[in-house]
Parts: sequence; structure tokens; C-alpha cells
Amino acid sequence: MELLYTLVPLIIVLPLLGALVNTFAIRDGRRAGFIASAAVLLAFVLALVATATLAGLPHEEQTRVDFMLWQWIQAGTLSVPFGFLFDPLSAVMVLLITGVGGLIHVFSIGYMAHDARPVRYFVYLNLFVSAMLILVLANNYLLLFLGWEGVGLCSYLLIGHNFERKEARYASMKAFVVNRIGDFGLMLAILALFYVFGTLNFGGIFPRAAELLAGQQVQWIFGPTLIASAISFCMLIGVTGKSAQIPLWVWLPDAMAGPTPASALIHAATMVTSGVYLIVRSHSIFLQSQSVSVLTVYIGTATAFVAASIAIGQYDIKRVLAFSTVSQLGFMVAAAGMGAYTAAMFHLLTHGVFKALLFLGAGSVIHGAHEVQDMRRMGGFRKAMPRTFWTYMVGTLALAGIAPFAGFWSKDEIIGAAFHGGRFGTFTIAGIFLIITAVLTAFYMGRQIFLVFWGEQRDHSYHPHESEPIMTVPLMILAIGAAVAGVINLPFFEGIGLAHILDHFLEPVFEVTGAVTEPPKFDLLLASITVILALGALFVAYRVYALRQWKKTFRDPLARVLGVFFEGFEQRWYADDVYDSVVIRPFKAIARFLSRVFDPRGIDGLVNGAARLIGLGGAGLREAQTGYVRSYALVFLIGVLAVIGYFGFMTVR
Amino acid sequence: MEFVLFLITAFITIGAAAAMVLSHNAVHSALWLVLNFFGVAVLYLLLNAPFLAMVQITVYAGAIMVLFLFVIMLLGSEKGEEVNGLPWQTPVALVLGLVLVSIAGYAILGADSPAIAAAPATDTQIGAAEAVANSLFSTYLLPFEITSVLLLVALIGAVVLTIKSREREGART
Amino acid sequence: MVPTDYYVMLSAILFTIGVIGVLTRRNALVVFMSVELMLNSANLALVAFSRQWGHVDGQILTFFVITVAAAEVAVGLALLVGIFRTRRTTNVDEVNTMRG
Repeated sequence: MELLYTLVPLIIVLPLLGALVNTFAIRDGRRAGFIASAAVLLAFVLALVATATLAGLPHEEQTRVDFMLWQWIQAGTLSVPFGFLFDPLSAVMVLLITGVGGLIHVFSIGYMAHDARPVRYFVYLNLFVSAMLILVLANNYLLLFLGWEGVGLCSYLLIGHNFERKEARYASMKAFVVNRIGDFGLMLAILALFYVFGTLNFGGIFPRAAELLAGQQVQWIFGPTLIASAISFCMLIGVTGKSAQIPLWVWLPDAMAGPTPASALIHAATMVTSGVYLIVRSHSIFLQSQSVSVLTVYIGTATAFVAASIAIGQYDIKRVLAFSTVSQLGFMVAAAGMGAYTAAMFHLLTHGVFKALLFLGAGSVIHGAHEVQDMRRMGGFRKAMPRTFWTYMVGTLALAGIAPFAGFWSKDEIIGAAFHGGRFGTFTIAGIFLIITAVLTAFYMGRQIFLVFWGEQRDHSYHPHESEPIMTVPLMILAIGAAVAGVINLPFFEGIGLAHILDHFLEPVFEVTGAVTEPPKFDLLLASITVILALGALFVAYRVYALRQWKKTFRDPLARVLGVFFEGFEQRWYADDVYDSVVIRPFKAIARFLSRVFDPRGIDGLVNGAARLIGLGGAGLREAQTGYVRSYALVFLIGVLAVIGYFGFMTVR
Repeated sequence: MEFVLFLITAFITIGAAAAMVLSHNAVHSALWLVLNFFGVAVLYLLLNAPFLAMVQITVYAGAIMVLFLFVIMLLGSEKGEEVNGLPWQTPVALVLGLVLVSIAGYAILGADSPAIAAAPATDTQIGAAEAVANSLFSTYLLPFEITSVLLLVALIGAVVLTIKSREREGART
Repeated sequence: MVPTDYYVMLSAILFTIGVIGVLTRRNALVVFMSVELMLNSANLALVAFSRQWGHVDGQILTFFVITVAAAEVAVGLALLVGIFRTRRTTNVDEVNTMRG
């Protein structure tokens, strides 16, 4: 246990150290990449040791690795420590961040070889890792918020890495502004938490949340449920911002303007999952509010479905994956809303692995295809880049939910939770939509695979080549992970201790708040249905895309079948246009009015008017200062007259 | 008899004062003022203040007015009225003067104050040099001495003011 | 015996003439003389009250006023000479450099 007090800060400090060293000492991109990778991989090793130590602790001790480095903020009754909480939930997040993050760092060495600013890229990447680690290791909401903002900043910097390109600049701004809206929600939630609980420490809030909100200590005209609803709703706004859920999801697809490995790390595997982590971390508050939890389920489901349908209509290889990420995040958020927190975490972990794999695979494809991103110009890469192809295949099967790959187990657990019900009853409609989404997922992934790797090359203006080993080795490692990651939470093999490993590992976290549930049972019928449907979707995709030789600027054959719907998918359901006309244009109009009319006329007019008024008054008074001593004497006399007049009449009477 | 003397003296003083204000030549003004001072001195005598009457004549009519005349001659500023920056001030001053006299008249003559209406004290010796000296060198000894300091300061001041300006002029040429 | 009222009224009239002189005359020397006139009128009232109350204090005060007036004239005239040296005038309306 004492070991953990040293290890946990070290895990955070290592990437930070890497960032500092790269900032001040290193000019060579490849060397910077090695240093950055070494820092994160070393952190991963430490995280493994730490997790093993944690697992070795007694059950009830596992949530008590809660320590303070120093007093961070002390003002009145507000006391915020700079402290960390290393419990099973943090542990799995740390493992994901440092493990997948480390592989992505290694991959980046190859990918960024020809970049203009590789050192800066690695500095941002390391900085991101430490911020993310602070986010998941914080033992209070304010420190969590520090990490939350830190990852937002790094995301902004990395999206805008190629700032010479206009769309990268706009995308980074968009991501930052949209995230800011969500951050505001989280900020409100934190303020409300402090108001209600008087502390921001997890240890001071969660175990007592239920009793405090229901008990006598908080008396409020609204009642405890409404307080919990208000707090969790504000948090939900933060979640929709960071995890790209409806209505704040529009930034994530554009975030693909950043370098592909950065997208893999930040906009697929780790940062965007911090919203899910927040819900799971704050589950004892969400549990108090059924209404917000149900809302969370439907937001997640709607996001999953909408994003998956959009993914069908995209031609950009990264954009498909981006919408896929939004969709999968919807799965996690929906699961978190249902109260199936372990399922949400399970999917978070498996998705982190296979989506990182897919993104890196896409990066490898783009790298090998000389920066071509349009799938219509690809085709037949199976032969040119076999290693990328096979690993990509594994990732696709995992995402499509084909047994026994990782995605199958986690996605199935979420769909199962929807039908079999948890704390808030069953969500049949949500479950049906999630199954449809899973089918759509299989279809668009099939579409991608068949367009990119099958058939013949459609655009012969370049020669695709396989990437170097420094990129393909991380792919292979991740592919193995994507294939077998399901074992961390298999629903059977109880007898040999392989079942529900994650469930049991996370149990202490929920024990503290009294939120432990039975591990869900495996529903063979449901699982078969989803697998068969997914296989069918893959087969349909094969029939539609793989059998014909397309031109390099072809229109998707679905456009004829689906008509306006396909157009809607292509145009992302017009969400950006709606936001543009409903939010951005009126906002710009108001801003223009304020800057061109109100500010010069109103504010400046007021200020200048006040100045002019005083100036005029001064000019008027100046006239009285004639400089003639006789006129002063006259004024003097008038005063004298007033005084003696007063006394004369007063005393005589 | 005394009343007639008062009336004549009063008219002379008022007339001399008015003439001083009205005359265009500063030398004439000074001379009219001297006449006014003499009238006031006579009034002092009527008021049983012979010592003050003598002081009035020697200090005011003698020393101060001679100094005035001396400066007028020195500067040659008998006229000095050519520029008038406030032409409208003359009527206003007259009106306000009238108001001042009216208020004073209302307060003095209209008053039924028993103190003023009562007959004045008849002790004719209070204004004699002996009585004044008794008071001045006993009760008011300290103010008297301070007055001497004041005069000394005024003397030095006048000297400093004139010497400095002469030096400055010398430096300029 | 002449009532005190009359003396005080005479004093008021003289004072008013002095005020009008200060306000209307531009020659600084005449303005100065008008101020002297006002001092004198005040002295007259003091002496009149001195007789009224049968008390010498009024006359003592008058004595001091005369002394102070002498000092004031000495300094004032020195200032006038100084001003005349730089501005070549004794007209108060020409010395209005303190105009706002």
C-alpha cells in the first residue's frame, strides 16, 4: 500500500517529464518520439505494478488508496487537496491510457516521420497523457476538472496541429468552443456539489450521497431527488460535451483534422471516454435521479443510432471511424444511464483497444496511400499492405460485434442490460435501437473494409505501400488485444475463475456506495440474434461493394435505394447546418450588432457622452473664472449679502 | 448743537467718500479720502474718543494717505481706468449696494432692540489717553506686543518685495 | 446726545460706498482707498458701540485695526509697485492672467 503512494504520482509525473524534456532539450523528431514513448511505456509498467499491488490488497482496502500530496486550495470552508484516489476504476482507466497510449506513441514515431513539427506533437501527446491521468486519478472534482480542461486543451492543440490548413484551425476552434459549453455544465455541477455537500472530495461525497440527499442534513424546498437531478443533469451536459453526445457531438467528426494517431488516442480511445468515466465515477449521484439516468439512456441511444447512420454515408476513411466512435460512445453512455456501469466500463476498455487499432490502421492506410483519405480512391490494398489489412480485419470484426472478438462481449452486455433491466427497469425501445445500431455498425465497417481492401485500386495516381515495422508492430499488439480483450469479462467459465473478472475487480468501487449488482446473465438468444444480424450486414456490404469495379468518383449505390435518407446520412442529418442557422448565425448577428452598433453608439456613446458632459460643464464653469478680481469681489459681496440678510432678518424679528 | 454738528460732519464724510469713489483722478480721490478721515476724526471726538481721533489724524490722514499719494506719484497712475473688462458690473454694484444699505437700514433703524434704543452711557472719560493706555498696557498687553511684531513683519515684507523685483530687473538688463 | 443708531447707520452708508468703490473702480490704488474707507466705517461703528456700553474695549480694537491697516497698506502698496514693474499698469482689469 505504501508502494502505491509513490507509484501513483510517478505514473503522472513520467509523461509530464517527457513533455518537459522534449520541450526544452530535444530538437530531433525521432528522438523526441522515443523519449515520449519510453515515458508512457514506463508509466504503463508502473501502472501494471500498481494495479497488481491494488489487486493484492484486501477487498475493502482497495478503495482506500486515497492520499494527498499537498493542500492545493484553501479558502473559507473550501479545502481542495492535490490528492489522488487509486481504486479499481482508476486502475483500469490508467492501464488503458498508458497501455494504448504507449502503443500509439510508438506508432506515431513512424507516422510523424515526415511531419513539420514532430517534437511539438510529442510534447502535446505526453501532456495529454498526464492530463488524462490526472483526470482519472483525481480524488476530488476540482482536480478532475483540471485534468478535464487539460485534455480539452491538448485536444485543441492536437486538432490544430496542422494549423496551415484552414479546416484544422476551424475544427480546433469548434472543438474547443463546443467543449466549453459542456465544461460549463460540469462547472455548475461542481459548484452545486460544493453547495450541497460542503466538500469536493470523492470520499466525502459518494458514500454519503444517498443518505445526505435523502436525510435531514440537506433541507431544501426542491427535495433531494431534484437536487440530485440538477447536479447529475449539469454533469450530463459536461458528458455530452466531452463524450460527443447529442446535442454537443458535432465537434468530434471535425476533430479528425488532427494527426491520425492523435485522433486514435484522444478522439477515440481515451479523452472522449472521460464523460463515461465521469458518470461511472459519480454513479451514486446519478442513482439518486431516475429521470436524468433515463434521459442519459435515451441520449446515448439516439446518439449511437444517428452517428451510425451518418457513418454509412461518409467516404472519408477517418470520418467513418469518427462517427463510429460517436456511436460507440453512445453505447457506453446509454449503458451508464441504465446503471450497467460495469458494462459501460467494459465497453469503454474494449472499444479503447479496438478503436485505437482501427484508427492506427486507418493511419497506416493513409500513410501508405500518401495522404489519400477518400475511400473511393482506394481499393485493393489487401495485397499492398497485408499486415495492416489483417489487423484492420480484426478491429472490424471486434467493432462489428462478431464473436468471439472483444466488441461482441461488451456490446452484448449493454444490449442485454437494456432488455433485462437494471435499477431503472428495462429499456426495450432503447435496446431495439441499439441492436439496429449494431447492425448498422457491422454494415458500415463492412463497407469500409470492402472499399479499401477488396477489389482493384481505383485511383492509380499513387502507389500504396506497407508501413514500416514501428507502425505495424503496435497494430499487431492491438489486434491481439482486440481479439482477446473479451476475456476480462466473460459471462461464463465461472468454474475456472474466468467469468466476470472486471465485474469482480470493480466491485469494491460500488460496494462503497452500496450499488453492487449481480453480474448480468448471458442471453444466448439475444447474442445469437445480434451476431447473425451483424454477419448478415457484413454479407450485404460484401454484395453491395465488393463485387463490382467502381469508378474513382462513384456515388454510393445506396443513394439510389435510400434516396433522401442517404443524402441525410451524407450531410450528417444536417446537424451542422441546423446549428449554423439556429445558433451560430444569430449569435454572429448579435455579435455584429453589438460590435457595430451597440458598442460604438451605446457604450462608447455613454462613455464619450459622460466625458463630453463633464467637458461642457467644465467649459461652462470656466467662464466664471474671468481672472477679474472685481468679479470675484462681486461674488463675495453676494455671499455677504446672503449671510447678513439671513442674520439681519432673523435677529431683528 | 451736538446733533447739528453730527449732521454736518456726517454729510461731509459721506460727500467726501462719494467724491473719492467718483473722481477720475487718483490724486483727487486720495485728497477726498483725507477729508473723509478728518470727518471721521471729528465724529470720534463727538463719541468721547479724543485719543483715537488724534491717532486717526496722525496715522491715517497723515502717514497712510501720504504713502498713498507717494505711490501714486511714483507710478504716475493718476488715471489707470482706461480698460474696463466688466462694463456691466457698475449697475450691478449699485443695485447690490442699495440692497446692502437697505438690509443694514432695516436691521439698524427698524430694530426695537432695547440695548440700542437705550440712552448711551455718559462716562466722558473712557476715551481719554489715560484710560486707553491703562487698558492697552494691562489687559491687552500681549496683543499690543504682537502688533509690534506684525508691523516689523510688514516692514521687512515691503522691503523684500521691492528689493527682489529690483534685482530681477537688474538681471534682465 | 446723538443716538448710536445714527452712527451705525452712517457707518453702514460709508461701508456701502466703499464696497461700490471696490466693485466699480479699476485703478488699484483707488480700490485700495475704498478698502481703507470700509475699514474706517467699521472703526466708526466700533467706537459708537464703545460709547454705547461705556466700555473702552471697542476703542482698543479700533486702535488695533488702525495698526493692522497701516501694515496692510505698506505691504499692499509694495505689491502694487511690484505688479506695476512687471505689467506696467495699475488697472486691475488688465491683470487677469488667472483667467480659466
